Parts: sequence; structure tokens; C-alpha cells
Amino acid sequence: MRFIRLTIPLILAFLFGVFGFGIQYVPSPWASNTKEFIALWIRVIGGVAMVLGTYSLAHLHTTKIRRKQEGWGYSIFFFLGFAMMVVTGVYNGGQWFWNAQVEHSVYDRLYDAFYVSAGATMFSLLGFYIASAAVRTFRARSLEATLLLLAALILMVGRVPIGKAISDYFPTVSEWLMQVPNVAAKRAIMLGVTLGTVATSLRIMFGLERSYLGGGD
Amino acid sequence: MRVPWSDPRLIFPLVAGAIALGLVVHVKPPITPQEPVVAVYNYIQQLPKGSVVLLAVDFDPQALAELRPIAEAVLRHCLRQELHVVGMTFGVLGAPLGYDIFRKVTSEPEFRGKQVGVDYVYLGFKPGDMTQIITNMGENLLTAFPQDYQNRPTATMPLFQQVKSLKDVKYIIDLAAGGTPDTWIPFGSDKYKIPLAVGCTAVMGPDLYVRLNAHQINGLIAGLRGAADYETLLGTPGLGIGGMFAQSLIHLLIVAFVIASNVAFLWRGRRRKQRG
Amino acid sequence: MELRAPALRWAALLTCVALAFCARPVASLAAQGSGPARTKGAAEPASETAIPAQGEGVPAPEPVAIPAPSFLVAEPTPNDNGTRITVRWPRLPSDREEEAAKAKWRYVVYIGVDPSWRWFECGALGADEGLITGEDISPFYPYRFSDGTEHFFIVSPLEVPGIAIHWLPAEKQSLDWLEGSRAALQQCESSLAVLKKTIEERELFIEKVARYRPVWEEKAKEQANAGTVFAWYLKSADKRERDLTEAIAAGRDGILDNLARYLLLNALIGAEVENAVRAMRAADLPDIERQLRDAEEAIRAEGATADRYDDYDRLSYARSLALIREAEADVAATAEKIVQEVLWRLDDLLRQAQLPPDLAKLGVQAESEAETDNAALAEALIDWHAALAKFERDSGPEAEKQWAEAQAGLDQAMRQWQGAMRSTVSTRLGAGKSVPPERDYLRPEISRLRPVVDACAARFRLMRKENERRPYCFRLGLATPTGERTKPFAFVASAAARPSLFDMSKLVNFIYAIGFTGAVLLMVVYVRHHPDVFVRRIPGLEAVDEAIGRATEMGKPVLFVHGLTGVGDIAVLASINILGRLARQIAAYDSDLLVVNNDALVYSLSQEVVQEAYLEAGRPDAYNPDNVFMVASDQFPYVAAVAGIMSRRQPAANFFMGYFFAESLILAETGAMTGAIQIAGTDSFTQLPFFITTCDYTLMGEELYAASAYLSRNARLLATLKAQDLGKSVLLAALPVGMGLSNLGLTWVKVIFTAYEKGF
Repeated sequence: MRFIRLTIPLILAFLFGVFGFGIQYVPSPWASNTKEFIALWIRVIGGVAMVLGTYSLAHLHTTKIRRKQEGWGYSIFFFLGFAMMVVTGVYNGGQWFWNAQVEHSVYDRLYDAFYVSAGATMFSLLGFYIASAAVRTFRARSLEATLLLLAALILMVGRVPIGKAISDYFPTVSEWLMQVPNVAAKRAIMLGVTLGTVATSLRIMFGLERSYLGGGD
Repeated sequence: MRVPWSDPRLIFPLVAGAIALGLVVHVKPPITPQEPVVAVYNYIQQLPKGSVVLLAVDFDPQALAELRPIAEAVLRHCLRQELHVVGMTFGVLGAPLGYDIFRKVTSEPEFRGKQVGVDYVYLGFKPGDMTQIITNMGENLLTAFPQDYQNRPTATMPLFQQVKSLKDVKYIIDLAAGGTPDTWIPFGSDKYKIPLAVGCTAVMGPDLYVRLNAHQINGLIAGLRGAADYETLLGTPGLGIGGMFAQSLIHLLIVAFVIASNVAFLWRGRRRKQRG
Repeated sequence: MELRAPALRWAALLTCVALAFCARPVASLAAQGSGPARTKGAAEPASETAIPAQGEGVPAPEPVAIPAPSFLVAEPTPNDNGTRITVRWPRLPSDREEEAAKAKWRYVVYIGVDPSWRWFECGALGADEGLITGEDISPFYPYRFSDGTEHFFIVSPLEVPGIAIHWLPAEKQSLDWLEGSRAALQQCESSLAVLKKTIEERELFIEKVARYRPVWEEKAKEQANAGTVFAWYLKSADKRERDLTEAIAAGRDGILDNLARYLLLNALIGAEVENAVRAMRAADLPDIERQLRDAEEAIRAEGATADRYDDYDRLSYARSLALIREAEADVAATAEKIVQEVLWRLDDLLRQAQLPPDLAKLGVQAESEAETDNAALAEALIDWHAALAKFERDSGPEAEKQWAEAQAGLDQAMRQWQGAMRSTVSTRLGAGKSVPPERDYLRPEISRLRPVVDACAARFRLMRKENERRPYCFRLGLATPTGERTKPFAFVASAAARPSLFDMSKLVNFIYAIGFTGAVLLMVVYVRHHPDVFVRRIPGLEAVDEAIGRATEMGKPVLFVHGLTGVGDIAVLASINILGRLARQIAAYDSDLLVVNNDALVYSLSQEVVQEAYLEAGRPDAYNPDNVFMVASDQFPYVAAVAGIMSRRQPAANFFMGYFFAESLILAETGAMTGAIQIAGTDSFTQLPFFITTCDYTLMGEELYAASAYLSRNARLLATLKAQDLGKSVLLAALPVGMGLSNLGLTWVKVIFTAYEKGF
């Protein structure tokens, strides 16, 4: 059992890891075709896994309704919304789902009216949250925090037109902050992240890291 | 009285009020365009008449507020300079947005004489792997996009007698809300030696300064401020300039809150020290 | 990093500032080597050779004697995918070269399939052009390391116009026409469906507006001010109606355009089939196949020559066209039925639409059906083939010019034919005499064409590949300042393109990858003997116990959020590793763990990992499968769901581990408002500031990847951290060394940092 649950996945992870690493260095059309083939299968597996995800979602909301947990009424809306989009998508304006998607159908309108509007609303929350987060965080508790506070204030004023009206230095300093310390920090983080990514990949490839298999070290 | 500076019940209404005030009261603050935006403007300005520019509308509805003004300003500039614009997108959600932008700008009185298929075309969305599509576009634009967004065949369009592939494009402008510049840079710009500029959301701006510094992109238009800068250079006010007063108010409001809360924080710390 | 002494803190800060100041010059230095530079004076393809005209301002040719090169080498282009060949020859001594460049002499490269057959010009370059030395060839690995004594010229044989492969462009053209005709039919079909929807939408809209219009008009009149809201309603309604009407007209025009396009391509394919089969002088398909087999035998038995390849390609093309013809029962009749069907359906829809006169106009040029000149089209096609054959035979700029003219003539004939056909179908539509077809023809034709197109495409790909890999010969000649071509030099070099086994331009990258892997394995072995590994304190990970303890005391759950990417992203795998360890601890503490997923594969993985963790902790009874669930697969629905869970369930501890996008602030701020302790870890540079401002602890970048090793304290995993540190030390040491060397003008050091160098 251990062989099937642990050893075979580790061997497969190693083989595919080495193979995926190797074909990056082969310029032959065979290598690029193989990469496309693997990418295609990843999409296929993702599609199959979507069934599991949909089941999980349905199960979550069914349980809520059955047990009359707090907010169970909203779960009814989940099923309503789900049914609406599936039915209109399958119907496809009378063309049915095996034809190309029909424009301006009911599906399109529901999408524009509900999904796009709700998405834009959620995105606009960021404007409010950034204000409250900024007020809470930018406190001169220590030297580093004070430097952060000053940089944030200069940038906030310098990046809007009124900054230049207040003083010419605001936009100049804020541009310098963006072009120099910001880029330096980004490069430093990128260096670390890249090495970390490679190290994590090697850990998984060589079977040093096995938590993802669920079996511990 | 202790003021709860960080209480959302105080902050949120004030933020909402400031935004509303900024949008209702029409004040045009003085805008000095930033260097990365000027770089894009200058490059388009010096392109010869009739050059082909590719405008990639790679954003979705969530980023519309920031990227639409940029798209409109850039498109207006290109049409004014009598450049030929080819629009397309890698995001299925962005396809109707791009079409809307092209339709709106080209229906303005200034551009009434511009013809689709001659001066501009919007190709729409192409499904598939982005790298593969860019490579196809580099070989043959017509096979990559046999029809435009409105299903008109591209093979008979006069514009495509001039531009057969990406190699004939003189400038690429990617309006991105995601990671599309990371693919355009190696597979579009570097491979075919075409200069690339990026228009992006303000959040992505700091990330793309690295690319700008490394000269992988020759200009950057970030966020609503970038749109306002471009509109200023163009001399055509739009949503970018329109939003600057509101944005300035909000920034100043946040700065005021931060300063006030710090003053309160330091004052309380001082009083605590004095007491004991 | 905690630095106890203030002096150390200041030193670190000053170092950062100094590095920040230095970053820009270093970055600009790196940038000089990072992207492929524009190649100065790259060899021009034959069609763009600028031949200086005689006349004013052009100096008379100088009597420069340019000797033949001592060698001419052709080789498969290194690091290539098997489509290109490189030709090399030595440069002249520098004084001779200067003379030649001043006098504007140029080298001309010729390509051919057989030395005894014909040659095609594939490029010309001046003595000071081409890939010579230094920056010019720096993108072209390994030629960048050339000592500057050779010229390089890279050619893709199939891109040389007319290169003895007449049938390849012809095949491509037929394939394009087939694909185009199918695409045009598909567009007709889908456009008809869209048109129907738009007409219905317009009808509904007009009906709805008709109910309100009288009221609006009345109110607008009462107020008599153009700026009132009712005047605006009327204006908007009129505009919307106009837009919909224009969309209907545009839809109709699009359908007619596509129909005309289909008929044109259909006619072209028909004409091509007739031409080719007639030229074969073959009776039927079996006859062609027999001839093809003979040609194949000849190549195998007697060796490949240009004539034999030409025969083989010609017969293959004829066979492919004959197959197309066989697949069509009666082309003309089917096309006519399709036109009838489309026009009838369109007519039916437009009667419902009742377009206003200005938009109902169809752009018909003549009252009667315009004549579509099939003869002119067929003639243009024959001329095209003849000009291409002449170009193959005679080569040279004159023949190429004639071929280009024939191509332009064909394009024009196609445009005229399509325009005339467009008028024809418009006239027929305008006449309103369309009758319903007895059955569907459109959809079956679309389905029928699909395997035909696929088969042609497969054949074309095969033929292209065969032609890419066949051997080609090369010769070198000269062009005088006035553009006349001299007799080529005697040297002939020959090579066939082959894909490289290893892309040497990525050698540096490969060495680093192997080196780093070696370092990792070495460290693993090292820690076996020295298990006491020091890792600096990471406050975010130290606080994990505290967070879980807090949740247990308060009797509230712990929330774990993966981020928005799928299993293809290493950040998610790192977060899964952390989840496993967290789950084990939470199981031991007997607390609740909620794992909210937005990707189906990640959800499956999370379930497995959490279940195993509970098992390992000896608490399988405590595991609740309902606590690991998927809420949405899109960004903002996911955020809304998680925010809702946070507000309702009020978790005491939130863990955000993975790659996040714009939703990070919404998640973290909502969590902060509920008073939870929050630990975030992400490698997304743009989201780090949001997490830092709103979370109690943030793992930045590589700390996320180190978390699993840190929490487990497993020596082998910690060894990989040491390897990372080793890698970083090498880079940190290289930075000042590289800066110093560059400032001294020794820029060669850039080479060892130019990992992906791709000039092609």
C-alpha cells in the first residue's frame, strides 16, 4: 500500500520533474510539441477536477440548508444562480451548447448585470480598505516605521497632481522612490523568490518534501 | 476627547464623501506628465504616418475604471497621428470592452472619416495559449485572425495588405491588468524587435518599473494618473483628468488621517510618559 | 531580521540605501546584455536588396579587386529547431574591407537545391554589414564568441522566395483558401443567428419605448428645456434604436461579405484543381498516385536531385487537389444551393427588421447581376503559376519582379471578382425573389469541409518539414556598386538544417541549474553529518503556535486561504506543505480548521493533506471533511465568500499563504476587522505591501518557501535553505565584483549572467 501511495508518486514526481527540466534545453520541434501535449493534459485533468469542486460547493450549501445553519437562505440563492447560469448557458440563445456562444443572449445579459457589476463592486471596496489600512498601519512606532510613514506620505502626495502644486520636490522624490528603492527591493525579493522556487521544486522532485502527498516526512 | 482615527465608521463615510465631492465638483488640477508616460507619447508622436500600431486590450471589467481612459487616450493619439491601429485581446472578458472602446472613439466627430479595415480594425479575442498565438501572429496575422470581432474577413481588408504579420508592426501597446506583459516582452517585443509600452493598473506600476529600468519596455502608463498625464499631453480631457481631483482629495484625506492619527499617537505616548 | 544593536540597524539601512543608489547603474549595465540588441546591418532578404540607381549622387564603381574567400562553410544553425542554415566565410583584410565598403561593393549569397541546377539569391550584405563582431553578433550564440574574422549569414531556406519549391507556396495557398472558405461559411451561419437575436432585441426595445414615448414627449414639451431628463430619455432611446438598426445593417453586410468570400475561394479552389489536374495530363487519381509512387522510387533508388524533388512535389500537390475534387460531389451546384439558403434566410430576417431606406441600401452597383469574370480569375491563377515557374527557372531580380507582379495581379483579380460577386448577391437579395431550399446545405457543407481541411493541413505540415530538412547548396558572389551581380565564386558549400540536441544559448542557465541542484544535494549530505543547522528566527512562523493556541482558547476556528493560483504554481505547493504541518498541530490542539479553496485540484489536494494530517496526529475522529471545501473558482466571488465566512464564523486566526492578486487587501482587512491574528505569506511583490500593512506577520517571498522546512525542523529540508543561502551569497558576492569590473570597463563579466540569450 505504501508503495502505491508514496513510492510511485515520488518516482513519478522525479521523472516528470527531470523530463520537464530537460525539454527546456532541447530546441527540437519534438520538445515544443511535447510541452504542448503535457499542457493540454493538465487542462483536461483540471476540467475533470472541476466536477469535484462543483460537487463540494453543492454539498456545502445543501448541508447548510438541511441543517438550517446560520445564513442558509443565501444557499438557496446559490442554487438559483447556479441553475440560471447553467440553463441559459446550455440553451445558448436557442443554439444549444454545442454551437459557438451566441452574443447578446440571456446568459450574456445575466453575466453583465450580475457578475460584472458584483465584481466591480468588490473591486471598489479596495478604495475604502486601503484608507483604513493606511491609517492603522502608518504609525511612527520605530525608526523603520517612521521611514515607511514618510515614504508613504511623500508617495501619496507626489503621485497626484496636487503634489506638484504643493512643491516640486514631491513628484521628483516620489519618482525617485519608485525608480530606485522600489526597484531595488523588487529585485532583491525576486532573487530570493527565484532561489526559493527552485529549491522548493528540487525538494519536491527529490522527494525531500512529502507533505503534499499527505503522508508527512 | 479621543478621536478614533482608525475607526472604519469614521473613515468610510469620509472617503465616500470625498470621492463624491471630487466627482461632482469639476476642478482640473494642474497636471505635469510623468516621464514614463511622456516616453510613450513621444514615441507615438515620432512614428511616421501610416505606421501600424498594435493595441492589446488585455484587461477585464474589473480594471475598466483605470484602463479605459488610457485605452481611449492612446487610441485617439494614434488616430490623430494617422497611424493604423490593430486592436486585439487575450482576455475573453476584455473582448467586448475593446470593441466598445474602438466604437466610442471612432464615432467621435474628429475621427468620422476613419474606416474600419483601412485605418483601424479590432480583431477581438483569440482563445489558446498566449505564447502560441503571439508566435502565430509573428508568422501570419491573417491566419491567426481570419475574421475581425464583427466577423468580417480580414483577408480582403486593405489594412492587411500593409501588415501581414507582427514583423510589420512598429509599436505594441499592452493595456494589462494581469501578467500579459511578461509574455509580450520575450515573445513579442524581444523576438520581433518591436518596442513595447505598457498601460497598467496603479497596483501593477511598481512591478513594471523593473521592466522599464531594464529597457524591456520603453514607456509605462500606470493607473488613472497615467491616463490623466496622457490626456494632458494630448490636450483632450477625459476620464483620467476628470478623476484627478477626486483622487487628489482622497490621497490628501488619507494623508491627513495618517498625520492626525500619528499626532494623536505621539501625544498619547507623551502623556503616558509624563504620568508615569 | 532582528538586529539588536541600533548601530547594526543603521549599518544595514545605510547599506540598503547605498545598494539602492547603485541599483540603477547596475541595472542599466545588466540591461545592456539582457535583451537581444538590434543587429546592426543584418543581412537583407533578397526582395529588399537596395540596388543603387544610376544617376546623380551615385559614385562610379571603383576598380576594387575583391578576391574569392579562402573557404565557405554551411552548417545547421546551432541551437535551432531545425529550420535554418548558417553560411560563414572569412572577412577581407581591414584595408581591403574599408576600400570595398567605401566603393559600396557587397557580398551576395545564393542558395540552390542542386549545384548543377539553378541558384536563388537569398541575401546581400556589405563588407561592413552582417554579423561581424562585438555587439552586432552578441545575441547570436555561439557566434558572439567569434574573433571577428568571419562573416555570418543565417538563412531559412523555405523563406527564400520561390526556392525551387514551387509547390510549397501553392500548397499553402490552397490550404488557406480551403480554411478560408470553411471559415466564411461558419461566419455566415453564426452571423445569421446573431442577426436574428439583434432583430428581436430591437423589436422588443421599440415596443417598450413606444409605451413611454408619449409621456416623455409631453413632459419634455412642458419643460421646454433641452437639458431635462425626459429630453435625455428620448435622445437615448433614439440613439439605442439607431444603434440596433445599424447593427442589423452591419450584420447583413457582414453576411453578404462572407458569402462573397466563400464563393471566391470556392471558385479559386475549383480553378486550381482544374489547372493542376489538366497540367498533370493524368487521367484520374489512380494515375496520379501511380506517377507519385514512381517518383518516390526514383528518389530512393537513384538519389535526390532537384528535378526528382520537383517531380515528387508536383505530383503530391496534384494528388492533394485531386482528393479535394473527389470529396466534392458537385461543387457549383452545392455553392448555388448555399447561396440560395443564405439569401433566403437573410431575406426572411430583413423583412422582419424593416430597415429604414438609408440603411436598407445594399450598395448594389448595377441593376442587373454584375458579371463575375471567372475567366479573368483563372487566367490570373495561370499567370501566377507561370511566373513562379519562370522564377524557378531563371531566378534573378527580373523574374522575381514578374512573379511579384503576377501575385499582385492575382490579388487584384480576386478583389474584383469578390466585389462583383458581392454586387451579385446584393442584387439577388434586393430582388426579393429568394426561395426556400428543399433542405439544409450550409451546415452539412461546413461539416464536410472539416476533414478535407484537416487532411490538407496535415499534408502541408509534412511537406514543409520534408523541405526544411533537405540539403541545400550555397555559393557566394558579389554585387557591384550599381547592383550588377558578378559571376559567383567557385566554392559551393552544402548543409541540411537539423534541430540541435541541446540549446547552447541556455548553457549558462543549465550550468546554474545543475550547480544549484548539486549544492542542494551536497548540503543534504552535509547536514547528515552536521545536523545542528542554524536558521534565523522568522517571527511569522514563530507566531504560528501562538495563533493556533489563541484559536483553541477562544474556541474559534483557524482559517487557511491558499491564494488564487492552481497547482502549476509553486507557491500553492509551498502553501500545501504549510497546510499539512498546520493541520497536524491543529489536530493535536483539538481546534477547528477551515480550508477555503478556489481551485478544484488544489481542493482535492488540500482534502487529502488535511485528512492525512489528522490521521498522523492520532485524531481521525476530529477530522471533518466539510471543513475543507471549495467556494468559487473566480477571484471576486471567492473573495466575497471568504469575507462572508470571516464575518460569520469569526475565526481567531487567519493564514493567507500563496499567490494573491487584488483581493489580498479585502481579505486581510476583513480579517483585521474581525480581530483575528493574521499571518500572511506570499511571493507576489505587488501584494506584499497590503499584507504588511494589515497582517500581524508577513512572510515575504522566499520565507514562504522556507516555512515548511522551518516548521518541521527536518534537517534535510533545512539543508535546502542552506543551499539557498549559498546561492544568495554567490550572487551577493558577484554584485560588487561585477560592478567594480564594469566600472573598469571589463564588461565581459556580463556573459556569465546572461542566461537566456536567444538571438533568433
